[in-house]
Amino acid sequence: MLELREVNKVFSMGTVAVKNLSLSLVDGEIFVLLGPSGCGKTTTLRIVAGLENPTSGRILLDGRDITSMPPEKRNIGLVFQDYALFPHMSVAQNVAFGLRVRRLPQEKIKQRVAEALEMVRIPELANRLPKTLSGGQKQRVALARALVMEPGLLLLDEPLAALDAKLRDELRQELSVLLKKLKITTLYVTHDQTEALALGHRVGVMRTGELVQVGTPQEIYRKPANAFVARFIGNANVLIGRMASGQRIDLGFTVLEKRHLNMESDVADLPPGASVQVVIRPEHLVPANGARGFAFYIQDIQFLGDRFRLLGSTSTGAVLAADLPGALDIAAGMPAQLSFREGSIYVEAVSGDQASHSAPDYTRDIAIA
Amino acid sequence: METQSGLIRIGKILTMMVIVFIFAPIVISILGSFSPAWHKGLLDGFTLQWYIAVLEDYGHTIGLTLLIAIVCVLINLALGTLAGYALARYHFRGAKFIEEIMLLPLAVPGIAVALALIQTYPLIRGSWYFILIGHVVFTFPFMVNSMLSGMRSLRLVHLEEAAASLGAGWWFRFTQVILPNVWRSLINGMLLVFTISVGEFNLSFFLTTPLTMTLPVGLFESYASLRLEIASAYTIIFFLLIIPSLIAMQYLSGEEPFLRGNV
Repeated sequence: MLELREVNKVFSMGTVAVKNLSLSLVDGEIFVLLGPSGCGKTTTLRIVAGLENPTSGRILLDGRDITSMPPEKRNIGLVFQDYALFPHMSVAQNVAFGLRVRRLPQEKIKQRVAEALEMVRIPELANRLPKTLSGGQKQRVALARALVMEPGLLLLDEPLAALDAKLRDELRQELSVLLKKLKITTLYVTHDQTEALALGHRVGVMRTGELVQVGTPQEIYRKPANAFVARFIGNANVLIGRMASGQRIDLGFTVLEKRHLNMESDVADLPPGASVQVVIRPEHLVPANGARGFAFYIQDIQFLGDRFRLLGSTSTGAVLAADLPGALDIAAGMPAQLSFREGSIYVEAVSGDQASHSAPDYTRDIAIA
Repeated sequence: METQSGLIRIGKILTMMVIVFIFAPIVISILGSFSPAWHKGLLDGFTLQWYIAVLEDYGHTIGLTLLIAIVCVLINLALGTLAGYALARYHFRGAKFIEEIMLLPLAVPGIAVALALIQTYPLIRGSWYFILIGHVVFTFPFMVNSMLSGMRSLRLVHLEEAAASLGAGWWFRFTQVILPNVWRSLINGMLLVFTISVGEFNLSFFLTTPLTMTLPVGLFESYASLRLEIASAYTIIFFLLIIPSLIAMQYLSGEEPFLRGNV
């Protein structure tokens, strides 16, 4: 079990990289730290690895305080974005490196290296030099090199970021199966929300050094803590609305009924007139089909394979993205009638600071992540 | 086509002229060193007497020069390697400043360094250690620079972090990961230091005494006393000392850099 207690990191130039971060991972859990570049996620990982010292706070691994333990004593596996393979050693020698440090007998090393290469499905590359490998192969070697040590904790720092899209998907799926099969406690750092949602048992979203939200992928997707998370995780139209009577929400161009809201939304206590933030995922918009909907003026239609994405604006000028499946008999320039999927929309009260610089404004634009 | 090939021809001729211009003195020195009398050349016969004379009169300078150069290389090997490693590895406060300071002797004339040394350490003047110190001060930046660029281009710090995560302590990391990847920079730096030390004149001229004379200073003396045949033979011996390390450096930098950028 890994535990971070109120970890802070301030660099010598005064930059605050990590702010008061507390976090604990249970055994066998894959925890993904997700955030834009510069949010402090990699620094957090490096602190856990022992490559950076926290300015304050403690790191505990299986109950032991490892805060000031040098990295080589921690038995924490590390995989970098740029692989960091030893260029003068073959694949097998790279994987054997840590076992040699442990002075295992030659026979034992050979056997475990072979097993590790088998595990990442590159046994045929054993005698190759790193410079002759593709990016995906290099990352498999790096993974084997870390896993062969049977580390108490595995740290992965954007392991797929340097690979092209198809290979990234492939390796992500393999990684997911492998890590779950080995039940190895993993801290995974990425800026890619698809990776985070697909791989993590839990996801922690970071912004400017702070953990903004921690939860299962479903929780984070359905109930984003704020507009930042909503936009970062999946695609979201984030609008500001105003409470009306009977737990209805006035969006200007239409009114959200209580039945549209998802279970996580709790607006019962909000007084009429209060500002709320409304998170509408593109897939939560549906054709009105005769029911009462709102007018949507389509500006662009994109074919995404399994669905169409419509970009358009409402009567108040608010820009929305809507994902609709199947064939459509509409074209750009046409008005359509849209409604909301029942039980899908997440609404929360706008907190003080958000309200101040984003007063109710029905024309706020949306971000398509 | 016509004008282009014409230009190329002119270029070739110019290049040949430059080469002749550069090599003529060397060829003349070689001829002179084997000639019984400088102004007559080899027409008068062939002799090795000047070489023997050099070894008799200046033999000690050759030995001392080699001794200083080798010790200088060894000191740089230890200090320069560690300094280069420390600068590449640790981002401590003032690292950039220290790097600048270490590279400063590159810009300061040898005479200035020599005079500063004489004023600072008057007691050891007259010992060859004095020249050695001067050479170390003067060559140290070259060694550090060579190590630094080698370590940075290979992102060695990153490799070392990977090695640490695999349980390797400092010594294991240094010997198994760092050194095998920087040997090229290391040898290059050593050859550079050796070449500079052997040929260094400015500093040495001020720091030598008749008893601790180095080769370039002796060479100057032999020319100054107009013993041209001896000076020629002396020059050739000087070349023979330096050329192997120059060739080795050329060879090292010419080959495809070992795995560079493919970490």
